[in-house]
Amino acid sequence: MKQAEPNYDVFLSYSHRDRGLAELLVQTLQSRGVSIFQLDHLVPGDSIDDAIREQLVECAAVVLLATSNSVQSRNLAFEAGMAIAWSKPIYALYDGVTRDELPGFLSGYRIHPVSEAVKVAEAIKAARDPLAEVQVQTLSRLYGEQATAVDQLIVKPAELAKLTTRFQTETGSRIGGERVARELMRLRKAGQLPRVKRRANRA
Amino acid sequence: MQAIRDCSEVAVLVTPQSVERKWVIAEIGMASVLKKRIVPLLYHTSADDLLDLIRQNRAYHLNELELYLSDVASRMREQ
Repeated sequence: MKQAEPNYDVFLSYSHRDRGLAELLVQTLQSRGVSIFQLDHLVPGDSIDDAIREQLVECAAVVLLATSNSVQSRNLAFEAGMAIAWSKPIYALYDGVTRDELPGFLSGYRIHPVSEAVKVAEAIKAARDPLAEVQVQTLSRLYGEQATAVDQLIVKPAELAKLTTRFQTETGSRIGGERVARELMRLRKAGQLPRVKRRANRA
Repeated sequence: MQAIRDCSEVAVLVTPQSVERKWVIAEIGMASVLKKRIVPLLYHTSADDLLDLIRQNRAYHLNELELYLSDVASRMREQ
């Protein structure tokens, strides 16, 4: 039986030319109890396979390593776009470049020099907020009632929004779609979601 | 961003300038992760100039706009 991938806290994106720096960053974050899924930049032309898509949905934050090797690259922009689409908390950690050299689309996100990685790790840990047990049970039940499989929900924002609205109404919480999707991915891995039939994808 | 979430497909106007604009590339990333159909519309560019990310996709020159709109309409009817 195929073993499920673990859940990661961080989806880390970096240029393969920064592998050494990325490794140091991984060690720093892991030493603070933050787990990392590493994406050595996608090769342009590669399709985003479902495994990468799901890791992105599951993670609590996306960290982009911004260096002279990556700030002007198409890959950084592409991967930032993936994270923006999912409303993920984005942390841009820069090294060897100034803040002003970072692409404009990162201006609304959290930007730190890589030397502040420990501070970033603490912020990410604080955002890992587990849902209350009653919220988990409600979400699981609503998921079964809506009967749209997780892999469909993560590419159909309208379906996810519908589920999220029902969840908010029933629990009185303001938890958003990104957090709902993340919890569904976690529950699916843990085998705690009711089975629903996967609908044919006509896209 | 909400518009990309809500739409069925994303048309990218590809010009000599836009292919290097980072925000355009970020939007292609958004559309890709949401499994949207991405349609390049070419203006003063050729398919050779397309990003590898969308090179495989059916592209239209801007003077084929009527054909593109007709294709969109038939895809929408199928949904």
